[in-house]
Formats: sequence, structure tokens, C-alpha cells
Amino acid sequence: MSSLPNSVRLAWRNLRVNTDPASLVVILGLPAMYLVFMGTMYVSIIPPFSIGGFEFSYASYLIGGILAFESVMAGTMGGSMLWADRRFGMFSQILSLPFTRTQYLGGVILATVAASLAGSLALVAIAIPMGSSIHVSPVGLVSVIGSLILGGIFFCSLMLFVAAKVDSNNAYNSIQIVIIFIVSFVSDAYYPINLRTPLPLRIISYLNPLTYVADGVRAGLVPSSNFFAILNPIETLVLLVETIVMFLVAYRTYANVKINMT
Amino acid sequence: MQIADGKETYSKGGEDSNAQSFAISIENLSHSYDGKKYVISDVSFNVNRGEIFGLLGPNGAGKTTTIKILTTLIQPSKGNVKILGFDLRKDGMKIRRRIGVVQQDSSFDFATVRQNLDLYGFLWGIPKEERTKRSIELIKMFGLEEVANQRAFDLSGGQQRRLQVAREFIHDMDLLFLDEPTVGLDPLMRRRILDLLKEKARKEGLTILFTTHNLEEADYLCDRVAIMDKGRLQALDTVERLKRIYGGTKAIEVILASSVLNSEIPIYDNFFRKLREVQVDVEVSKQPTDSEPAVIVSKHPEKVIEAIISVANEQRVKIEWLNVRKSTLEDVFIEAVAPSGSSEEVSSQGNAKESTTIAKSSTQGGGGTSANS
Repeated sequence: MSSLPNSVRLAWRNLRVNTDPASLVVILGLPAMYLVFMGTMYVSIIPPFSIGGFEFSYASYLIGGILAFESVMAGTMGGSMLWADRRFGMFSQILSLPFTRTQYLGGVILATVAASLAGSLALVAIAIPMGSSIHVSPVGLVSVIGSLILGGIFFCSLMLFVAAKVDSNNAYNSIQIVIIFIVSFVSDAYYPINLRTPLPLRIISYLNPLTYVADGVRAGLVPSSNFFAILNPIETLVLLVETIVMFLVAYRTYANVKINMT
Repeated sequence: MQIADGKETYSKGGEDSNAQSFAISIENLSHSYDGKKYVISDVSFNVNRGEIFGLLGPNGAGKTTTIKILTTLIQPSKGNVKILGFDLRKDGMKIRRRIGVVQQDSSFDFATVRQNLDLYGFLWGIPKEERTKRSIELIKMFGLEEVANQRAFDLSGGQQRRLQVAREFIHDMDLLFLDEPTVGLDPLMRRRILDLLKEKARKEGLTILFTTHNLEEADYLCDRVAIMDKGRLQALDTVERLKRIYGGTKAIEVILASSVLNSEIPIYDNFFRKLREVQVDVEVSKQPTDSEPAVIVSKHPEKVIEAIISVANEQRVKIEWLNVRKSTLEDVFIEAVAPSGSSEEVSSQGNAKESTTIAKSSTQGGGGTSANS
């Protein structure tokens, strides 16, 4: 472990520090509860529906959205890492060690992506007994992992931007809750967006990267013959562009973070 | 260094050409956070390898900013700095590999004492077996056995400070920066940490730069001290030389009869006014309190004592305590940072009780100190 690259070492430290039981309840427990409660309650009232020629039960539809939502929750963990390190002095302490700011940022993003992937794996284990239909193909796996990585980077960058801008604990938590609420519910993570969706909400959901993360994950969990019928490659491109832009904005803001918050 | 017009200038002859031999070499360092007001102005000094160097000064003197610059956390606005021979502006990573930093603000991971030490060692790339061994040693050395499995955030202030200092010794280093490391520590633990630092410097050649408000510990620990005030260096030398230079003066402690403290007549004020009339070479460096004597510093204590007795007789004031003592670092400190203006200026800063200048000019011309002894 001593010869690990600096960002990997920082990521490992971040995971060790931020995976206490209370944090795990938020990062993993919340999506798991959504999966269990929504999956159980709605599956009995929502009949199976077809997207791109593939017939989804609600449980099968939901798992894609929940895995995507896990990348949002992992992203909040990433923002909290920076915020807590600033608040409790570890940010300046770590920067007085042989690490650069970029390596610190790399450590936060790596930890976020790792948490997102590990959390998703745990959620899949919960979803299968609930009747979610999961097909794994090489292309599908790339799509699932790729979408979760991009989602993790986007939402981590978004939360890092907030963490870099906000000094107050209450403000940070409030903003985080609002972001989670809007991002998760104004998207197709929990229900399909169609022409009957009010136009303003439809526009927001088409701008919302979670929609594309959910579509990428969902497409990866169906038989490969249905893959491109469910996921338009342009969606992946939009997600990629949004992620790059958000990352650059976050990086620029983060680069100006003062050493001491207090 | 010479003293001219109450300000010090530093002779740089030859020392900059060999900056590599110094642990720290600072030349004309200035820093401003907003581009307007300079919190550090034109500071130059060197720290020898293996030396314990104290940076003293009142709040807002620029000590912490200096430490932040020297530890590469912020880039200086102006000046040249070399740390262990490396250029601060170009070689930040190389510098950080060889230094340790105990910052003024507390900093911990949300983990137990043992885990904090382990995580820190992990960040430094120390193999698991080695960091476990060092953690055990440090927990014992810093008296943290009883709280080793408690979360760092649940510890008392003193315990947290101990952990913060202990944590820095989990890795090897050539130069250690400590920003007020003993704040909140009880006297025994303070002494234990100071002794540890001394031992590390003497036996392992560790260079230490630390800031403190506690002048006794600077006196106990430091080979040399620099006194900063308002971003400028006011004095720099060995503690003993500073005491000798500034203390061509001696401190005369006097307590007038306790009853007069409760009197409505400002008896000390009258007393000092009379003293000034007969003896100009005095400075009241500390006003009396219920428990502490007034302190008068003078180059000619025998004349002051004569004057005190004479004035006391004349004023019919009873002297309860009269003592002449050697100059302390505190006297040097007060002398070095005392405003050169009037006592009103001191008063406006809320320090009037601690430093009232009567005849500062007469006590400051007594010689110079060298930037590197």
C-alpha cells in the first residue's frame, strides 16, 4: 500500500474516514430504502410497460434509476469529504503533506466513484430477490459502469462546487437536500418521462444528467439486442459533455478554496 | 543586524550565497492577502540546521502567515525563500516530503486516536507494520493510552493537541513547524513535549521552528528567537544575547502598601510621575495588579531604587516589596513589541496595563544583534 499513487492513497483514506455507519445509512441505506419501499408499493399498481421493445416490470425499471441515484448519493459523499476536511482542518493539513491540490481532488473523485460502484453492486444484490430482471452482457456492463462513473464524477463535481462555495454547515446541508430532491425526482429515475409530463419538468429532466445516467444503466441491464433501442448514443454524449463542464467548473472553484475555513 | 532609529536592519554578508546550508533561508519576505495591506513586510532571517528557532509575537504579528508560507500552503507576494535548500516557489512537493507541520487549528479525521495515527502514517506511505509500531510508541510517549480508542473529536483540548503533535512524529522529517503547539496543555505535558522536541533536535538533528505566546517555553527551548510585530521582525538573536542587549536594563519590581490599591487616589500614577521627574531612565513595563508588582526597567537599577525610596518617603507611601531581578524573555518581548509612540497609543490597543512607555528611546540604543549567530 505504501507505493500507491497519491490519489489512490487519498481515496483509500477518504473511504476509511467516510464509511462510518451513519454515513453508510445515507449513502447506501437511502437508495436501498427507495428500492425496497417504492419497488414493493408501486409494483402492485403499475402494470408492466414497454420501452424500446423491451417489457419492463416496475421493479426492473426502478433498479436502473436506483443504481443511477446511488451515483448522486456517492456524489454527496464526495462533496462532504471536502466540506468536512475544510471544516475540521484536514484540508490544509493534507496539503502540507506531499500531495498536490489536484491529487487531493483526484482522491475525492476516486473515492466517490468507488463508493458509487460498490453501492450499486450492493443494491443489485437487494434488487434481484425483489424480482428485478437483470441481464448482463459485456456491452451492458460497460454501459452500466461507464454511466455510473460519469454520474459519480458529475455529482461529485457538483457537490464539490457547493462545498467549495459554502462555509456554513446548515447552508451546505440545505443545498444538498434541495439538489438531491430536484435531481432525483425531476428525472426518469423513478418513472418514465413522456409527452404527458408537464413541459417545464420535461425540460429540466432532459437537462438533468441523472436521466442519462439512469438510461445508460437501464440499457445495460436489458438483453443486448434491446440496448440501442433504449439508449440513444446522443444521451451518452450529452452526459459526457455535462460531466466535463461540471468538472471544469468545480475544479476552477476548488482551485481557489482558501486553506483555512475558520 | 544593526539597530538604527529603533528599527533593525540585517547584514546579509555572504549568507545568501550559501542558502543550502540553512534549513530555512528567508530574504525580504512580504505578503499581502488582498494586495493592499501587507501582513508581513520585508522579513529576512535564516535558521540553521538542527536549530530550535522560536517565532514570537503578539496576535496579528504575522507568525501564522509566515508558517503557512514556509510550509508551502500559501505563496508569498514578494521575497525569496529556501527551505532545506529548495526554492519555495518551485519545489513545494520536495519541501513537503521533508517537513512536518503542526498547525494552530486542530485537524483530525473522524476516527479514533489510534486510527488517526494510522491514517496519517498511511498518507505518508509508511508500511502497516511500521506505522502500527510507531503508533503504539507515540500513544505511550504522549500519554494517550487511556483515550487511544476514543474518537479524536471527543477528546479534551489538551488531549487533541497532544494527538496533533504526536501524529507528526509518525513520519520522518528534517524540519518541523509547530504553530503554538502547547496551547491547552498542562504544565507536565508541556514540559514533556518540550523535552521531546529538545531531544529530537539534539540527537537526531531535527530543525524546529515554532511559534508561541509562552515566553517561558521559548526561553527553555529555543536556541534563537525572532520577535515579530505588525508583520515586521523586531529582534532576532539567542535568548541570552537578547536579554543582555535589551537588558542592559534590569527589572525592578515594586509593590506599594496594599491599602493604597484600594485608595481612590491614583497613588501609582503619582508615584511614577515623581519618579520620572527625578529619574528619566525608567520604563514602567508592567502596571501593578492585586497580585503582581509593578515592573520598572532601567539600565541603572541602583539609581531607580534610590529614587523609589526617596519618592516613597516624600509621598509618605509604604513600600511593601522591592526587588531587582534579571531580565527575562518577557522583558525583551515587551521591549521589542512596545509601540514606539505614546502611552495613549498603547492604551488604544487595550494594552496600557502591560506596557506603558516612559522613556523608550533611552533604553533602545544599547547595541545590536546579528541575524545569524
